[in-house]
Amino acid sequence: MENEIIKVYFVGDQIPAEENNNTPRERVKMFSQKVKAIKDELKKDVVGQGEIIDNVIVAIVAGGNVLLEGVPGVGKTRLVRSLGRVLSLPFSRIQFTPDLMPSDVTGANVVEKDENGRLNTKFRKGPIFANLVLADEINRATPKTQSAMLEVMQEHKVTVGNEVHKIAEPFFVLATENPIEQDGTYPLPEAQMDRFVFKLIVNFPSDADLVDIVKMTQKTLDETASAVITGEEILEMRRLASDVLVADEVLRYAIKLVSGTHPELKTCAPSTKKYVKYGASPRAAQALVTCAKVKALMEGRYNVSYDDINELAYPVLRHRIKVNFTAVNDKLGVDDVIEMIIKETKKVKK
Amino acid sequence: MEKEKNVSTYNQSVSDDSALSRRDRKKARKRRIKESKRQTGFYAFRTKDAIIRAIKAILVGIAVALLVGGIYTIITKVIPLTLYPLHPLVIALVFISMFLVLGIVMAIAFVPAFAISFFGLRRGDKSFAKTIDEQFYLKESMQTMLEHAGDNSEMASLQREGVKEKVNGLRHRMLKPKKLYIYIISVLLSALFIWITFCIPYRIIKEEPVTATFKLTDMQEKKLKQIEASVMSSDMKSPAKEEVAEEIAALTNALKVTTDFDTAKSLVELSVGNGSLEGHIDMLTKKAGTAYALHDILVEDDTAFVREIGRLLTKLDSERFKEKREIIRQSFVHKDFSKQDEEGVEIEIDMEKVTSDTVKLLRDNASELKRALELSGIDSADSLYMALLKVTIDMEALASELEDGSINYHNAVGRDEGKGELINVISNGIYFALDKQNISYSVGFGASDEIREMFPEFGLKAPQREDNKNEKKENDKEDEENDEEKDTDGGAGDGDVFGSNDLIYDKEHGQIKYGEVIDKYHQIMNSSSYTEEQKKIMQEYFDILYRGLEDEKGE
Repeated sequence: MENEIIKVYFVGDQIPAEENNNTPRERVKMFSQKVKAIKDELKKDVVGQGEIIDNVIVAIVAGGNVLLEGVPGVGKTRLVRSLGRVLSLPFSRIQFTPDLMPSDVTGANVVEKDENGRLNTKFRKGPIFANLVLADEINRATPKTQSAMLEVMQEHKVTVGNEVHKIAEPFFVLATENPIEQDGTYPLPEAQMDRFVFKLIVNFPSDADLVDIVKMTQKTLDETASAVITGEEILEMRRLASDVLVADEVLRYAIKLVSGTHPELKTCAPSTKKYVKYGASPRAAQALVTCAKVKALMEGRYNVSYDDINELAYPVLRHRIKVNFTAVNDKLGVDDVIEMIIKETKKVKK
Repeated sequence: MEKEKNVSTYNQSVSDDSALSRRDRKKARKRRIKESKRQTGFYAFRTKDAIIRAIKAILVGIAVALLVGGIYTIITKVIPLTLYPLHPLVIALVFISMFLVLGIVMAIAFVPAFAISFFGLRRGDKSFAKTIDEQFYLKESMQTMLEHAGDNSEMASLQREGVKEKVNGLRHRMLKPKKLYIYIISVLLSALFIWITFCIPYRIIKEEPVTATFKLTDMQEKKLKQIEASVMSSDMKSPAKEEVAEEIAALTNALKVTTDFDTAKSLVELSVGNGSLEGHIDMLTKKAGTAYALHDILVEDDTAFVREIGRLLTKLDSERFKEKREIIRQSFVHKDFSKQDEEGVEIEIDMEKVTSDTVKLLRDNASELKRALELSGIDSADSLYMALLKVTIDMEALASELEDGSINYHNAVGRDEGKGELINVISNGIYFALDKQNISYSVGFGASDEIREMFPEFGLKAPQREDNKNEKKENDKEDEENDEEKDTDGGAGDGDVFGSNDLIYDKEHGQIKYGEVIDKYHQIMNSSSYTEEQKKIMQEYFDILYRGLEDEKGE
């Protein structure tokens, strides 16, 4: 185990042919096995939340960041911690507080004495330099600190001074936030929100799940999930997923769905005109198709379907759409509006 | 294992493509697409779809055929059906033939409706793949497969394999016809429509068809006799004269025993030798050009009736000629201005006025005569021409003398009287010297009109002259333009009623025939105890009535 060499590839890197000599069918098989293994391990620590786990896996394979929103105690942090262990990747946790500074996240240049006693500046990496970062209570940090996350979340690099520090792939930020407590919090900037591929709502567990949670925690609070997948394997899964086929019509539908969230466009859905203040960015369309490919492969398909797009529309669009006062007045949430847009876009499709 | 082999074989063929030319690569791609479709059962679905389309097209064809059949049935129900004699076999034959036609009409409607529907309902591969995906919940696999059928990537081949596996698990027979109920409802509605049209009763006329009856009226017979007599008294040579008279007599006899109007009409038409005299007369008139030529042509016609008409026209024109000649002559003879009152006292006359009127009259006549001479085409060396020219010169000289006072009116009259004999001689020639074409043309029209006016005598509609037709068209246009000024109340009819079998209104009997009324009046007049003087007055009344109607026609 000590001698095992982990090769890390960055996005866009070509895997050498000799390392990619498995048949397509074997690679797909490996994909399914890994997904299953991740799920099984996570279930050891997290009770219920099957859909959340699935979507988190989708986001990780797709290479996106995830924002988990839920009331305290529903297992958000535990899920991410467990994931950190399952993925067998360097994991770091940043507890976001109002006094957290950007350098506390990204790292900073510090003055150090070398062996000869001379003073040199040296970049000391912050906690962001990991493959999996848990940004706990992300909305408690000031906008200044949150802005420090923008570059790393999108471009997977950190610029300090004149130096650019690349972050090893795979890299994900899994952030949590509390929707109830508003005191001492700062709403996330739209630019940052857009960098999360998914916003997942972690609901209160069902009674049955709650029973299991209570029973499990009576025995031990330890998290038992173990590593089942390497970074290299995740990148391989990502590459495989990117090859999944998308029919032109399905692709057009995904784009129509995203552009349909823009009330300023003539082609938008009627509900958009009524309830949406501003729509999703082009990143949403990219995220929708990329994640749909992963989801299709997870379900054993080699092509994306309308259902994939429709199901993923909620986590992809809910933090990218801003509803207006009419929606609030009509007691409609973002998910309700998305549902309406989907239905109206389906009609156009037919 | 076999599946793996298929994939590797496929990949092998893909890798071989790179060595091919662009054209061959295209061909190979097409071959792969075809192969993909075959492997994934797309063609099998297509076959099933064609069957479904055929079923739908048949339903559309039936619906259209029923619809057209219904329309045809309505038409047969609206048009009255005359079934006489009402023999069951006749009725059966009529209905069998009607149903045969109905069947043919429906078959004709079915074929194009079926063809249009069958080919019109055909969908493209993409659209059809979409249907398969929707019906079998293939999650857009078929669409994607079709789009990437020529793709040589590993994922595409895997996807094809996946589709193949899914399709193999399906039963092609389960491909359901979409919206079939609409087609079935259409057929049912069309069937209902045709059934309703069948329920509409036929308009069958079972009675014997009413044909117009004919009875030769006294007036008609009298007219025929007149024609016969005029033929006999004409200058026609024997035996043509007798032949014509016999023919007219035969016609009269035949008409006497004829009770059917159509038969009578045919007899008259036959007797004039032409089913439609209109064309014949027009042709002859056109050919003749002048009244004289027309007379010549008519009297030489093959048909005795036409020959007789020609003779009558000659006679008529000679009378007209006399009238014309008299008018001309009168214009040359001075008037006696010495008038006396009741007590015998001579009235004083304004001689200046008389003189100026005479001068004007002389100059007008001289001018007219000169113009006529120029237009006549008579050779200037001709003695008649010379004489007429001298008359014009003399008249102009006389007018000048009167005007400048060289002579007085009485002297001039004396000189004029001396020329009386000469005027009488030359007036006969003046007619020919006048505008020959104009006179001939008008006389030609008159001849044509005379012939036409004889038609109503036999209950026939008088043919219209070609020129009148054009004139009428122009008049119609004018009438349309002056619609507001149009008087719809006036008019004394078209003149065709007299002596005919046309119906008129009678207070006691409703609609009766005009000819019968006139006959009745004649009978009353002849059989009653009227005095000869009263009868004469009544006869004159009828004559006036007859002449009046004729004049109207002439106008």
